Amino acid sequence: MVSLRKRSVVAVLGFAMLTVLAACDSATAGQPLPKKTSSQASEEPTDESTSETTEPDYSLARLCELMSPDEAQELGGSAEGEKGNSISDGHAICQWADKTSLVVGFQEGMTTANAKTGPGITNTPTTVDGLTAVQQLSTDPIAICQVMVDLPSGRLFSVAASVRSAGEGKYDPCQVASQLANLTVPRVKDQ
Amino acid sequence: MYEAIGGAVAAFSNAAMAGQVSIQADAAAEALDKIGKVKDQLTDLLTTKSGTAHVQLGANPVGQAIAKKSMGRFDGEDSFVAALTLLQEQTQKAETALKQSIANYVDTDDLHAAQYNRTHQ
Repeated sequence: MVSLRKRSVVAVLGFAMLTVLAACDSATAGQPLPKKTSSQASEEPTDESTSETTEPDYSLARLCELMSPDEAQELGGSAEGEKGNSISDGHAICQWADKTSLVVGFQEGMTTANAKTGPGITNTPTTVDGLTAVQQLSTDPIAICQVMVDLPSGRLFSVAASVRSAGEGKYDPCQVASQLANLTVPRVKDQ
Repeated sequence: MYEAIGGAVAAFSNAAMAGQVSIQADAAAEALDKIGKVKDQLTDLLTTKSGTAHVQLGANPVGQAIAKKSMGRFDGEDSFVAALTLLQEQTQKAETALKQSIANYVDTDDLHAAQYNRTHQ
C-alpha cells in the first residue's frame, strides 16, 4: 500500500519533471534576441520617421507651408503666413500680410461655377496649370483679386490678393493673385 | 448706427475739402498712422472672403432656405461684410480728409509767409 503510494508520488513527480524539461526544451529551441545597441536602435524606423518620408512636400493640410518666406515677400506678403479662417464660411486659410495681403485656402465640394457675381465683380474664365479657373476682381470697397481653381479632387482652391497701405501704387492685385496661383496650384493640384 | 458714423466722417470730409479745417502735419502723423493700420486690418479681413460664399445645408427646400438666409447674414445689406465695407469706406474717407487738412495747413502757412514777406520788404 505504502509502496504503491510512493510509486504514485514518484510517477507524478516524474511527469512533472518531464513537463518542466519539455518546457525548457521548447524555450531553448529559439535563439535569444541580441541586445540592441544604441546605434541599432536609432536606425530602427519609427512611425514618425516613416510618416515624414511618405508625406508630400506640400499639403493642403499645411497651407502656410505652400510658400517659402522669400516667395511670400517677393509678392509683397510677410515672411511667415498666419493660419486663420475665412470670414465667409470659416474655411481654413493662410494669410501673409505686409505690403500686400495674400490669402490661400480651399473649400470642399465647391467649384468655380459657384463664383459670386454682381455689381463691382468681374469674373474672367482662365486656366492655371491646365486646370479650370476663374479670376475674380471685386472693387467694392477695395480691389481684391482672387483666382479660384477647380482641383481634380473636387475641391475649390483659391488664392486672393489685395494691396495694403505700404504697397499702394506698387502692386497690381490681379497680377499678384495670378503669380500666387501659378506658384501654389502646381503644388496642390493632385490633392 | 452706421448712418451716424458716416455722417460724422462726411461732415469732417466736407469741411476739409472746403478748406475749413487745417492741421499741422506733425500733429496729424499719429492719427494718419492709426487710420492706416485700421485700413490694413480691414483689408486683411475683407481679403479672407476668398473662395465662394455658399453654405450647403442639404438639397431640400428647408436646407436651401436656411442656407440662403445664412448667406444673407454674411453678405446681405445688414451683414458683417456690409459693416466691414462701410467701415473701410469711411476710414478711407477720413484718411483723405486728414491729408486734405494737412494740405490746407501747408497752403495757409505758405500764404501767410508770402504776405509777411511782402509787408516786411
